[in-house]
Amino acid sequence: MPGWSELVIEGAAKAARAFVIGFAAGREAPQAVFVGDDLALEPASLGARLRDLFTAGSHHVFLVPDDVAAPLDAAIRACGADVGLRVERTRRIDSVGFTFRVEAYSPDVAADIRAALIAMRPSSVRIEQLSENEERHPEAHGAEPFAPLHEYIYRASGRIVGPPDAVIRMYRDARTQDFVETNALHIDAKR
Amino acid sequence: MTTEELGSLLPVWSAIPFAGMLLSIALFPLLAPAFWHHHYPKVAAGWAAVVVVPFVAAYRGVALRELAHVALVDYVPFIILLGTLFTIGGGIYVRGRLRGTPGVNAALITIGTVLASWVGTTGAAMLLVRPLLRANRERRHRSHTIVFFIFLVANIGGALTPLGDPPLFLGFLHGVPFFWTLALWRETVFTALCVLGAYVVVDVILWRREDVALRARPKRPSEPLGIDGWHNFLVLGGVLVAVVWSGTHDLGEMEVFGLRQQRQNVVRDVVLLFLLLVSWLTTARTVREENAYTWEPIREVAILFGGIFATIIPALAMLRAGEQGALAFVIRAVREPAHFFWASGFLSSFLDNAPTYLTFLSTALGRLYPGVPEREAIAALIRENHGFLQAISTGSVFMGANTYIGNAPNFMVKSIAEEAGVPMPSFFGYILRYTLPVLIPAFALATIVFF
Repeated sequence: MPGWSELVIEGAAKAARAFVIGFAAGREAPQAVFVGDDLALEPASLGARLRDLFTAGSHHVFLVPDDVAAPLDAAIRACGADVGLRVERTRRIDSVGFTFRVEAYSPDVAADIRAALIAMRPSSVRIEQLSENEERHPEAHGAEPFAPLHEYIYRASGRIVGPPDAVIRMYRDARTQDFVETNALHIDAKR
Repeated sequence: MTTEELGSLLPVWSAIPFAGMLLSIALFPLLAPAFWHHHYPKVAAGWAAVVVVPFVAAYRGVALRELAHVALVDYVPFIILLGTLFTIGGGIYVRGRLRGTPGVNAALITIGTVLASWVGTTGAAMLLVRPLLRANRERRHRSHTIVFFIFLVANIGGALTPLGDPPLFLGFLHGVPFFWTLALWRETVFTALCVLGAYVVVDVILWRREDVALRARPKRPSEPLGIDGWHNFLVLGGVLVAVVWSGTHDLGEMEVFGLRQQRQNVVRDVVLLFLLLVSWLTTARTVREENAYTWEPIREVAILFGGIFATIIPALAMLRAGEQGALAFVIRAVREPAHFFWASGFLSSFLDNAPTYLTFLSTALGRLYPGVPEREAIAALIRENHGFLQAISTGSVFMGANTYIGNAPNFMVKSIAEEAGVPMPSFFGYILRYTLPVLIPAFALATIVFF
């Protein structure tokens, strides 16, 4: 399984995006780049949060495969200054993950969510702290104005962890699913 | 001892069980739905007992007379009307599947808004929420449509007749003429158009964000439209005739369980029960199954309003005593129609609007006509200060839409929509995303124009 790296590039957003995507396209791997500005990324630390307050908009995160990361880093170091770009940091990514919470009230909706998040996930993705339960209240059938209770309730929560490409695909799908709440993507990486 | 004298003797804390009862109805479905679903009869009985037992022990004859009066004049006719409307509404099923375009959605919501005053907000909501959900099944943006449906069909639309919303029927039972409510048409049309206009703007914007393939589909309904159980509209006409007749004829008084009762009201209730039976017996079972009809809503109303009507007695007596009662501070706090509109509306946003209406009606009577018998005071209120009654009526009915807990059909519609796969906003999401930007400005405009 190919490894992934996180590059933090300082400079104008459009220039950074164009440089990285153009570079990846030149290596015939444009789809393999994830732009942090397009994702909801969790700040790495309290320090990163504080820094973001003061440098908002000037640092941009990119997730790229290792075979693109090293030459990209070298290219920016070599000629990035011409377009105002500078590599601030490069880290090897161990995994990417996000936590989710589901509460749905229809067996059909629950089955769709379950398939997307749990049953049919890629083999490279694992779920940590998975909790699932179903409640059925047949006595709550029909319209109830004053004491409403759902006839069926599906609850689930957990944390999806794995390689960036698979997890980010799942994350994007999960964010389009009704009744699914997701937290920001967390990147586990080391320098 | 008269009711007015009783009102000046009762201490302010005797209204606590009433507040507890209303807060239970408002908060338990939100905080502990499973507990509430299974134990609400015990909670209601508990609050009622807290009032009834000491009340009867302390005031004996007067208390028993008050309880019997509330039961016969308010509770029984109220339950009979709601039960009849619900049974008839549950016997009408709108088949077919429309295409959920902004035009179709606005038309369905408009039909529901108009219908709400004649079949009740609960009946209109139950009748049209499923066709609306079916029409929008494939749309990605659906929550806003259901929220505006709650605003208009489950609340604002019910303001035109006493059949529309329980507070107005309580007003009718207390002496407000049936057709007086039609005088609220200006406020109702104005507010409904403001809210509907906002809906159309929002839905057109969100429709443009829908998938191109969905927007390009043929405009005809994907399943032909039809109405099952249409004869229930005729039965509904019978309800209208019976209620109007009872409000315009005087057959004198009769004694029921030792209490004087208007003969035409007894005839009306018997006719309503007969119409309920007619609807039940003449409607195919399949129609009721399609509507997921059960008797549970009527059971809920019967039990919970039993608790409300039992606990409301001290509060109403204190308010009717005016400056002499322990709730004189409430009467002093609300002076103008605009105050009544917002005060009754604010409380209706979080508590059930029927008892809220009665509370503020009593507040207005206590302020303007203290010590005058209720029916005479209401007649004088309409003759001399009708702006107060308009404000209380519209505030109580309209602002039930402000939160999920403001009016009973709100939660019912939310629940049905969620079971159909529509993600509804949270309690606070509903207020922040819809009530504050849409309803509050509309009500502020209505205040400027009418109060």
